[in-house]
Amino acid sequence: MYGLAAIQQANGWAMAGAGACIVLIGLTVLSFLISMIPRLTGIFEKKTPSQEESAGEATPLKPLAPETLPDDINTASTIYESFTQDLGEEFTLIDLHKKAKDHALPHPHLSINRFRDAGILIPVGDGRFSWQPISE
Amino acid sequence: MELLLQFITNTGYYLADYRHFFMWGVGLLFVYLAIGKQYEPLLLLPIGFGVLVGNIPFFKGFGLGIYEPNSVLHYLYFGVTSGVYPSIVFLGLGAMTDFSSLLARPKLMLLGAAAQMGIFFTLLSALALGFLPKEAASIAIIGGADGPTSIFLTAKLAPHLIGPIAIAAYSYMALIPIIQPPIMKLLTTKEERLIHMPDPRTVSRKELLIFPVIGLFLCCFLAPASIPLLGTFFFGNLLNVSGVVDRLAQTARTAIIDTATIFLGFTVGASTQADVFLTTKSIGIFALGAVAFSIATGSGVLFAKLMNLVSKEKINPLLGAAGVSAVPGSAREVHVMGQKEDPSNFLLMHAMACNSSGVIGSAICAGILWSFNVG
Repeated sequence: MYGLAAIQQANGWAMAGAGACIVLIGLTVLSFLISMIPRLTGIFEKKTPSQEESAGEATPLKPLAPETLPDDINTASTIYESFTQDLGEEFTLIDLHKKAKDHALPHPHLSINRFRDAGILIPVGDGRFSWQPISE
Repeated sequence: MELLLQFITNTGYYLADYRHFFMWGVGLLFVYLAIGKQYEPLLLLPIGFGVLVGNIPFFKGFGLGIYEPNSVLHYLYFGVTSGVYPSIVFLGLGAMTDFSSLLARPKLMLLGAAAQMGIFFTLLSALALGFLPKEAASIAIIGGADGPTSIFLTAKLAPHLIGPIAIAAYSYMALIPIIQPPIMKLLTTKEERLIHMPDPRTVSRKELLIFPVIGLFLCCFLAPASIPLLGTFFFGNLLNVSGVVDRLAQTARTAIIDTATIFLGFTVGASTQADVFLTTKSIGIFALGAVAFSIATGSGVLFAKLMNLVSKEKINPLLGAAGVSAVPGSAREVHVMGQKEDPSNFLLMHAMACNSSGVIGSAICAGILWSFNVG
């Protein structure tokens, strides 16, 4: 048997329809549950505020990393500089990259390349680099 | 003299016919694509050489062939027919997969679901072409673009079709750079391809730990037949993210998956004996496989466009093409096409989210199709 009759005979329409619906609904529910996980973990974390408070007192405040870097390269380099102060005047690109990753700065490879191309990040010898002061 | 003649008539040179030559051509093509073009070499090299080995003519009854009881190849092939190798491959895949980009943007999971529509369209097409329901379901799963899942389901429903289905599934996976880009380009405008995706948020360790547990319960309760695949998949992922069993996670994503891949590829290749493989059904399977793969790619892209119509936050519709579970080939193609339009557009992480969702989606589909065709 061939064609639509064969599909009908094998209950194909029902299989395809039900199968497609099940997988769509299943993954939609999973997607919804995933989106709830941060809230769930947030609730549990709020239940222990004293721990968070004491931890907050003990450690100095870290600057928050932005989700996206500004288009202006000088402003972007300023953000990078603020995160790399503890590396000192001179540092290796590996340390800089690690620092950027630690602070979840977006696209560290790309940004570091841009700073080098723009002459904001300059080599000082022995594989070390430093920030070039921005001229006004 | 008689002994010599008997020896000669038992040699492969004497027993070979045009079908063997054809299959050697297929095997050599796979080996060439793997080594020369580096198309999915991890799969095509073992399969290609398996095809060569499986198509050396031999005197039946010596217990040599993969389909002859008690032969060495038959024992190795047991891992395929029983579904053991695909299950082990999924363990390693789980240990390799980083779900953080999916957890950061859960709605990308819908694209993994949408790309599975190719499976159900192909199911109908295969039935219409006269395939039996179990055969049609096994052929349809090629649309999931997941080799181990295709092999697993076929082993359960239509073991006599493992060879052509596995070869079709892996061939199309290797041909992703040829099949997917024209479909992606055809279904999207330049403006759509230029859409930038915002950087994903940082995902906490707790989220990464909770996900495999939630995923396991939801998916395996929904389609218990997917337990052999998704059970090991989420277990592998938990090994990876737990951070307390690095040795086990490392072994799962290296030695274990590599061993399973070697035997899976080699025995699937060897199962393509000319007399079993070269049938009119195989031609139908290859044609339907191409349809399945194309529809899967197209439905993912179209669903992404649909999401853009109803959602404020636009997503790049190219990501829909990565909803098939060909990891990481389809994600790479999406990224490459995005970069061709705008070199500053980085889609890889987002595409990997759709890809990992596609792996889960196709395994659920396999479970659903198996449940529908039990008995």
